[in-house]
Amino acid sequence: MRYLVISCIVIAAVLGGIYVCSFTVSEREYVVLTRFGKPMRTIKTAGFNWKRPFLFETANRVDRRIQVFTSQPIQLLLGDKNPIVMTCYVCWKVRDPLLFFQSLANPEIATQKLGDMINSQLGNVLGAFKLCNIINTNSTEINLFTLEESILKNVNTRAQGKYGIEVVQVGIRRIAYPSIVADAVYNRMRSEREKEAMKFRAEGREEATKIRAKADREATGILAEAYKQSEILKGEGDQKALKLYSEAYGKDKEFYEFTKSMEVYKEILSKDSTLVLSTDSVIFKYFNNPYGDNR
Amino acid sequence: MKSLLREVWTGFASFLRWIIAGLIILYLFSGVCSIAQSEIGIHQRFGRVLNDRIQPGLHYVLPWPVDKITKVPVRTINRMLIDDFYSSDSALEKVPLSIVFTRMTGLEPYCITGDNNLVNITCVIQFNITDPFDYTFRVKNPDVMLRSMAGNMIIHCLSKIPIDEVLTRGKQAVIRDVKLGLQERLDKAQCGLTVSFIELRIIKPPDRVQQYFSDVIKADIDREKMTNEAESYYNDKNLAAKANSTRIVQEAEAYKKEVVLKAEGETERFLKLLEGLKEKGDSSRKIIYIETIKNVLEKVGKKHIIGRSKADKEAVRLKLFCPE
Repeated sequence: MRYLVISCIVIAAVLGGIYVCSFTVSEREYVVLTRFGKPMRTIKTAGFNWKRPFLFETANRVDRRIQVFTSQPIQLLLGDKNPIVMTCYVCWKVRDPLLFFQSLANPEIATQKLGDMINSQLGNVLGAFKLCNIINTNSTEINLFTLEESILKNVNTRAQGKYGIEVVQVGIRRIAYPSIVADAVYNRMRSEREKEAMKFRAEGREEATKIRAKADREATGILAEAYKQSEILKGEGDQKALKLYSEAYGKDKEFYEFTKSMEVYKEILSKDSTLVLSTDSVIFKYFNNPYGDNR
Repeated sequence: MKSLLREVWTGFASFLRWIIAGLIILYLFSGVCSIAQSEIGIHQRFGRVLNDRIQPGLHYVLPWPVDKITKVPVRTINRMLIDDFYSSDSALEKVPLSIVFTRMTGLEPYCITGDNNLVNITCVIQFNITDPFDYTFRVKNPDVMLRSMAGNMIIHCLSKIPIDEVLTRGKQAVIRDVKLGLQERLDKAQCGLTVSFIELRIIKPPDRVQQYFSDVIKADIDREKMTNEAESYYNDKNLAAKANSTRIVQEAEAYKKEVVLKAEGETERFLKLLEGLKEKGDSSRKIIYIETIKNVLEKVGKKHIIGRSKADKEAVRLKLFCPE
């Protein structure tokens, strides 16, 4: 029984001793070991480590993961005097834990410092860019990547030497126009659209007018063609009739004239006509004389 | 009295023994862990990673504080709505960054296209964890990172495309470019995420100019309508003209037929008469003549017949008047 109690106490003491005299380093962190505040060594590999107990040595953990933050929006002038509002996102990680621990110590301060650096770099770099380097339908003239790269490079040279920070990536997070410029852009968009709508309608009208004119022209053409054909047909008919008449006429000229005259008489005299005849007429040959001569 | 105390103590001690044994067993069993089908486990010993690909199933590791298992849901498809460039009251509530940006600057959220137009865009990104180690130990806030990079790629892609293309046929290109660029950035930052799918939810002009964009679409329809109306006018006109022309030609045909038939009839009749004349001699001519005169005189309403002999050589004087 006594052994049990004793062994329990011994185990507890050993475990407590181990706990006080050791620390573990996770994969996600570096540790800077300080003795009374003075950095003694930095541990970069994860695992189990010994240290002196209590206040003699302290394990200061520094996050080694990549961290992201978004910088404060800043209004800047581009090289062609266009004002623009920008924010960037920044991915950074601790490169040199000792330097980082000594200079900044915690990520909040690092974020603030890096944000300031980014914004001042944006001011420097953007002067060399025009609006057409940022937005352009011709993709070869866009230099957004160059912009981001040069900010990254400039910030990195400062941050690495001074704070032990490596900036992994800088990217533009938002680009916006100041509200006055945005209003102008909105107005321009509006007038562009109005112009386009007007153009469409004008095109429609023009096209419609063209089609109508074509319709009228073709209709006239069709009718003229029909008229031509009808005249030809009529002419053919007349020609044929005339040929027939003249053939008949050729048979006996005098008799033709006679029969034709007879028909004409029938046609030209009607009920309303007044006819004055002399009894000399051939028809009255027997009117005065049953023998027809002047006997 | 003393013996009673001793008895209680031994009783308690044996009880305590069982308790300690039970605690030790429980402690040892706390190392058992199960990994679900959709997950992968990372095995750490004193913080150091021993195995970052523990497959689903039941596993035993040493209990705390020696070993630790972190479960990473690698087969879960995550969705993220990127609506930093979309202005709508409900959307603003959901997006912290948009609110921050808008509150800080007082500017509406939008994205700028290549021809300097503003556009509202939202997109949905589907992604999953492909590298559990990087995801767990190399990135502090992977979601924020993904959101930032996606926003960045949207800015990059839209900055080279005119708005008409963005709104219409350019969507697929935008999706492709954003996906490629985003993946490249994620890989560069080693955050262990893979984008599987991107969908553009809303692409529209900002509310302030929306109506003018709609009007362009309406104008396009109007154009179509006007030409269609003209087309139908053309068809009407054309058909009417064709019908008319057919009628004219038919009439001419009829005239031709009529004239020819008439001529044929008349000449036929004439020839018949002529034939008769040749057979019967001059008498038939007289018959025709008298027949005709009879017809004519029957028809004529007023006939004045003046009788005179052949001896009278003077002219006859007549006074014609109309009887009202």
